[in-house]
Amino acid sequence: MSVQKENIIDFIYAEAALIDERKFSEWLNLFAEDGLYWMPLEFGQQEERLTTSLMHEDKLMLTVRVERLHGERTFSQRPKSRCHHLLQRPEILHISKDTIKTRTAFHYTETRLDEQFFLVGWSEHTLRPADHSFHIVRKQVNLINPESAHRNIQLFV
Amino acid sequence: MTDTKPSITLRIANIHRVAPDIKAFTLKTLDKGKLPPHAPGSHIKIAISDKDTRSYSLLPLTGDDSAEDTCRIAVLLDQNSTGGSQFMHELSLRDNVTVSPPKNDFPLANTKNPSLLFAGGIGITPIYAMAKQLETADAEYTLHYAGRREGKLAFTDEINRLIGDKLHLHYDNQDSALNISDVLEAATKNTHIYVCGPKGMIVAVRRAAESIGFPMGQIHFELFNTPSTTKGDVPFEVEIADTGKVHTVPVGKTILDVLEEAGEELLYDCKHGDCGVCTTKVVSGEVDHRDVVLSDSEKAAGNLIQICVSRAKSKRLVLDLQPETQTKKITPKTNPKPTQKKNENNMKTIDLEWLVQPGGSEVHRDVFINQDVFEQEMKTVFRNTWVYVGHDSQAPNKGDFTTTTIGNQPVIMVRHSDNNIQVLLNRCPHKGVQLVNDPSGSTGQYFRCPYHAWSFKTDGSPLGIPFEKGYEETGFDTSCAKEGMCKVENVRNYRGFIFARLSPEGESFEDFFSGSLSSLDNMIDRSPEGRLEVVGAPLRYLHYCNWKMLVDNQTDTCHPMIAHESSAGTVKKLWEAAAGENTPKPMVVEIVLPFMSSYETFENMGIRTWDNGHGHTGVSWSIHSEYSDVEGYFGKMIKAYGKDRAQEILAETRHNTCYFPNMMIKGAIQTLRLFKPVAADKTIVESWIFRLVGAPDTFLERTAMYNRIINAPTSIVGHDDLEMYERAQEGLKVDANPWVNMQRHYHEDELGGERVHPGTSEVQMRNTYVSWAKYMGMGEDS
Ligand code: FES
Ligand SMILES: [Fe+2]
Repeated sequence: MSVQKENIIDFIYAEAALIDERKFSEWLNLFAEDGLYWMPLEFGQQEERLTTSLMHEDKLMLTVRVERLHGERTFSQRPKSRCHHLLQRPEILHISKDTIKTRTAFHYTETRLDEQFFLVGWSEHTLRPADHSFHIVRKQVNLINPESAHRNIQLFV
Repeated sequence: MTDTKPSITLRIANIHRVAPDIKAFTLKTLDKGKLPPHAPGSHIKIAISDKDTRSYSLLPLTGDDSAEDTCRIAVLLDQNSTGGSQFMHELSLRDNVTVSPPKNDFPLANTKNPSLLFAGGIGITPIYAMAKQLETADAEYTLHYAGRREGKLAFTDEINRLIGDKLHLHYDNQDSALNISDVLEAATKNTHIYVCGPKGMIVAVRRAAESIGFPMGQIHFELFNTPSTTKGDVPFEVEIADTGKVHTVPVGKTILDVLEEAGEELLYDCKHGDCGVCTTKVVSGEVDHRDVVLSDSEKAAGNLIQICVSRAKSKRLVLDLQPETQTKKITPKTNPKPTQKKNENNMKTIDLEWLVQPGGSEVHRDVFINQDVFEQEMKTVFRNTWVYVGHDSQAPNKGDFTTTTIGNQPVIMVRHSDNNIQVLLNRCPHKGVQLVNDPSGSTGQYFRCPYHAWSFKTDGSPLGIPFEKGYEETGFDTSCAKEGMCKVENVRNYRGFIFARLSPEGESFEDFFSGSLSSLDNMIDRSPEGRLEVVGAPLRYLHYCNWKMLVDNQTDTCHPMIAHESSAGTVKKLWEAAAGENTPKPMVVEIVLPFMSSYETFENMGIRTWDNGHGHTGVSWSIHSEYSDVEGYFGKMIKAYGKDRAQEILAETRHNTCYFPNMMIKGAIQTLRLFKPVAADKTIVESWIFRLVGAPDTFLERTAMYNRIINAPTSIVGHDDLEMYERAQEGLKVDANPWVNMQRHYHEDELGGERVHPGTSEVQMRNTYVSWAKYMGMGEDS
């Protein structure tokens, strides 16, 4: 399949929509087996392994999170959180036969009970074409305030 | 404990009947393949079907067999068993079995202290291996081996040949019957005690040892969880009192299983005899108690049964499934006087004796939710104690600073021109403006106020005021402003860790911390160079709850398996489902799995307390004890410290050490958490990590991962805990019961100096509140 810009942009929107609709298992399926979800702790952080991050999740850890969100005894999800992604049109930074890179600015809102908070920043996706769609090889979520004293961030930005 | 899957194929090279109903099996790898090394106390799991495994401890080998490719086990034939022992006893020579790599949950602590070994029946297997090791090491030890009657015990001759009169045999039906207390009374207090045998024996040894005063950390035991059946189980009948229906409970099924299949509505939770939910009234019949819920007197009275594990000694049990709910009439403590009273000056004062009941056994909710109490804490507890400010690696060069708070007081930690670390209160003496407010940075040779450019040296002393002559003959010379920045006089740099006491007078650093510094030492000593360095920014996590709820949680060993079932339990489940043969355990699994350890594991770890509210969990074992080794590290440690000392440092794997008032460290994984009070119901938790200078990067990788997985606002484990704290902060609004209960394992006079307690005791929480009351009672300017 020749990679159409249109398809890439649709994919990024659809990815966020799956989270907003709480279709976490389907969302998880978008990730390649070697996929990674990274949210650095410091603005501009380059080091992934030898310093603290907010999230640095391989597929096993993402699966744990998704399972947990569905779990009977997940008390911090009683009642459940909801979230919403407001995305700017994804910008395609790089496109080749086997790798695509995009940058997408977001306003993310998460809410539970009477509380609601916002996270703002941009995500960088690395995608790999895979039969009629893409796999997420890497999703890096850059917050503009990663070092702030945050409340529980329970879903996925 | 973690589970290892059967993945190694072994062939049966020898079968011996070593007692009437015990067979010993010698197992060898195929084609001389290597077995992982295994120390005394190790066990393997043998697959007895696709789903089921049984654990067997490894025996010492005989003859020329080499531990490299051979191991030996013994199996007692349980007449009523349909499972493991039957399977094993039906095996023949040259059959193959699949086993897990050996794992050691019951290691020898050391061979330096004297050891006392107790074995009951088939429980001899790990104990025999220990005796052999102790004998080889020429250690001081004795072995007490007990059985019902002569001729039933295995390996008596073998052991006798090996250790001679250090072996004491005891038969229940003879004068030689084992008297546990006598044996323990005769032992010195530094003896390590090991016991393996039936549950009753383990309980008896532990109880006797505890009451004689052996530290919990020196009592080691291994309980085999034979899942559903125990030797000698027989079927029995259960009659439901109000319907008269009778059901038969066969071997291999529990009362709960049978009644549930029969459609009875039952309340239960853990199904291990742990939680106390399924307690049922017994109308008649004799119970065979197998739970850890009911007390000894309740068990003796025989009116109650945990139907998920216990069975019957009599042919029939009559159970009352519909006991009228008896709400026990309790008279709650009523407040004889208001929590806050007015003193002579018509000022409100806080009644500490009321808020913290004797020994800290119950604590009034005002300690957590009352803002006046909070204000007083800031003026007393946080002024009169040594509070952690930062680490000197955060300010490596002269003029480098970080900003933080001591209680509610903003401070600057800065490296002065004389290279010492200073702690200054962060306000300009002029109008109060904070001189710096970046989390960290460099100020050069002096601080310059951004408002009117007053300047100060990095020890706070005044340097210059622009156009200063405007202050001539204004009385400025005697003003506070003239003095420069306020400086904290009492600062201590302890091996890089900076602590400060705001109050000019008070306890010395050494008196305040006493023996608890051993935990900091252990964390630092793990660096071959004896030095740590802060790495990266801290995680910062906002909690709408009181700061002390987090402090309490650090030594709350009864919550991980419950509150973290959703996170750690899920990791466990997914890992067990996914792990194939020989799958190496990922670091994250290694970190999270121990959270699901059992109550007994935590009970056994022990808790140590010191004066002034300091204490730690994980005296003899901890959730950090089984991290895999890192190549190249031990060599460096030996080089730096010598072998014995290096081993000693690494054998100490304490869990959480709480330093009163608001800090916690994990030496074994080099993390530090600060619970920073903001308001009675608002706390910011900072989680920091350290590099072990001179150690391989793998440690830092593991530490960074631990911090992220466990302490981050994005951490699922953090989500579990925060939910509990904030629900408590809300729940404490209930007027009908204003008390927070801290009585688990409480007894009078349990505190004072350095003490070791059972690992699920809430003693460290009590220690916190006893000290809290002490410091709360100190004047603001003492
Ligand atoms: S069971 Fe401990 S707070 Fe409820
Ligand atoms: Fe916890």
